[in-house]
Amino acid sequence: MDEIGLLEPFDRMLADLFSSATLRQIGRGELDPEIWITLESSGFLDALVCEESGGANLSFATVLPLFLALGRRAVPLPVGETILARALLAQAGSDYRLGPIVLGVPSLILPGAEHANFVLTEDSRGVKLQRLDGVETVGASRDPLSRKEPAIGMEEGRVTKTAPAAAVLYAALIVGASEAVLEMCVDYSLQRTQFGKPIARQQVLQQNLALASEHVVAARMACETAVRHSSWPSPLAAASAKLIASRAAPVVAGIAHGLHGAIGISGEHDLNLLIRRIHASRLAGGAENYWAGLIGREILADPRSTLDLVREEMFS
Amino acid sequence: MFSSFSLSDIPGADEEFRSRARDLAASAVANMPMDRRARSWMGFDAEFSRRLGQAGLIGLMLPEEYGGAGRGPFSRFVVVEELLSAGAPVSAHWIAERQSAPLLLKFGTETQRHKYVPGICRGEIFFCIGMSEPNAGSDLASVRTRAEPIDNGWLLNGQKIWTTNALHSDYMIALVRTSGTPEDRHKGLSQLIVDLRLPGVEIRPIRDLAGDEHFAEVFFDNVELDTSALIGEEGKGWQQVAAELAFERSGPERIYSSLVLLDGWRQHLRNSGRSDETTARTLGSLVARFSSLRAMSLACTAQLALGESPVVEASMVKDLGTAFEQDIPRIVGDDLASHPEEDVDQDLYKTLAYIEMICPSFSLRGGTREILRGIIARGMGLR
Repeated sequence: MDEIGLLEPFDRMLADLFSSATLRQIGRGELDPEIWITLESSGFLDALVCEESGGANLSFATVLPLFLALGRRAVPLPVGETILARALLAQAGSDYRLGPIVLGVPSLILPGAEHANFVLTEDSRGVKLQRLDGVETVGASRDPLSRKEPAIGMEEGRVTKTAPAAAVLYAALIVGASEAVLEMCVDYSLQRTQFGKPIARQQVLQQNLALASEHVVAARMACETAVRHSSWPSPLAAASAKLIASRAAPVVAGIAHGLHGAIGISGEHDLNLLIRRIHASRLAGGAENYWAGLIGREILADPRSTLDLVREEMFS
Repeated sequence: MFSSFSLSDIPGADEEFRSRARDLAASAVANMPMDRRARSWMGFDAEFSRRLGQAGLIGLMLPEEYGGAGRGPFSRFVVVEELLSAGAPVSAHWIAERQSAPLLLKFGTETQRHKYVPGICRGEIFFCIGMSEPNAGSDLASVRTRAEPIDNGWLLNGQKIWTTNALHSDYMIALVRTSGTPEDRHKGLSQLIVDLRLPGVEIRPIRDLAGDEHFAEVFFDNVELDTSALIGEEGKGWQQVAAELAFERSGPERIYSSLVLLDGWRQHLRNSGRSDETTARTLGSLVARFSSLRAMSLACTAQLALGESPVVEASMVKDLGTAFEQDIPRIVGDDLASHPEEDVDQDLYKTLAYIEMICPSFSLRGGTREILRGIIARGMGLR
């Protein structure tokens, strides 16, 4: 299936399932079980599962627009995580149709874990699932703290498949949500009148929004880079995507809130539904310094020029 | 938003230009100190430009009929990133190839095209651009230099300033007023080719803050030009300049200016045996930023290859790209100065000192940050 043929029905489904009112309900901890049943029966959760195991066998690059759409619709359930977990489980020959799954990567928080049944972890023997019971939720975003599961990253000198994939997913969620925020900002600034003219006419506001959009485009390009050249994101390119997207997050949030003024702080305004997801996705699966350190440790002793290194490691 | 702006691969046939460009760049910089390599864009070396021309590496995007290679923007992308990241001295032919030749092909007469473009592609004819004046910087429409119509041509009087390479160029393409007054703004402006050897042209180099003389003041005192000096239509100079600046701003080259310093610093880190987490993070962050900017540049190049004019997208690359170029000396300076126990090579320090002082110009040349963000804001529908 091509990207448009895939994205359009997926996005329409998300729009139906996740209205602002529903997002607020989920935020209060009330999840209608019908939502997951609809997601399950849509088939999209098996997008990355190989054909022999009954999936759609799509490439990571083809699925990236779905991850961006999940971001744009501020979806707080672990839909992308489940798509990735199912691919990994199917590759391992395990049963994968098990409801919502979160990814047990090194992380401050595991977004969506309060609605998940399982956490997928990976060690030298491969991936495995563990049941998630009684997850603690913290903070305004209700995103659960990562429990001290045997969550394995790349620190042990071994490259896992889960961590780079999760990094690209979270980066894409930041980008998608940020794109929606930028659109809200443009609409609002054309509507809102102060000093006798729409605030969009203020040069400072124009310049700030231009800057925010640059960061978002850069982050989307980093995501596209990470999925373009191999069937699964490479650690360096995935690290770059998560770093650049996490860097964009506070820029977008700060400028969007500055522009909306007090109304953006009100709980009734939809801006906070998106901004909440942006912050959560930044804090999930390692933020800027985590991934910068990974890239740096890999390349500190590398004698290649920066251009060759980037060309060979991230663009081929 | 900007969803048609998407990453693209470099076609294999265009990649084939890489080794040729790399070898030539390597030979040009072999005995050059690092701080001279860091000048790349401002490094004027007519001989090197001629060698590039002979190797067929100038005018890659220009039609074969006029001496170009008739290839697309991807081959130029490959050559440009090799030359700039090595710090090769590209300044001599840079403006002529990137702006003047495309401008002449788009608006010039057949005679003008044949007269100038093949020489540009051989790396033998050099151009400068006469836009800024003492009271016309970002506000370009207020130029006062004037060309009065006379029998068989024009009489040119006035002054240009900050003209890069004026002293070493053969010709200037000048934006001048041919009718009306500065109050008429965009109306009455035209573009003229000025042979810089003509009587009445006086060029006074301006020494920059690093001691170099790459830009100049140019005075015109009753300079007589014949009718063939006019490019395109009389009075349409403003529209033509906008198209010309689009050539400049759509190029991929706005991310490489400090790579020589970045590579020099990485060499220092290896020499010092650094392996601490803080250094790793600092380096990792810069490399990730470079990677995302290169992806944006490739996306821009793909739009150019489709025949589009990605002015908004190119402005994004340039604004973010020059911020990266300017962050490198700040970050490298902080790092080196925070390790006083390490021996720092004189060459590296001189390069840092040079880039630190000159880098504000990165976000001035070809349009300031504020102008670029204004273009992006227009693309977003804000103005």
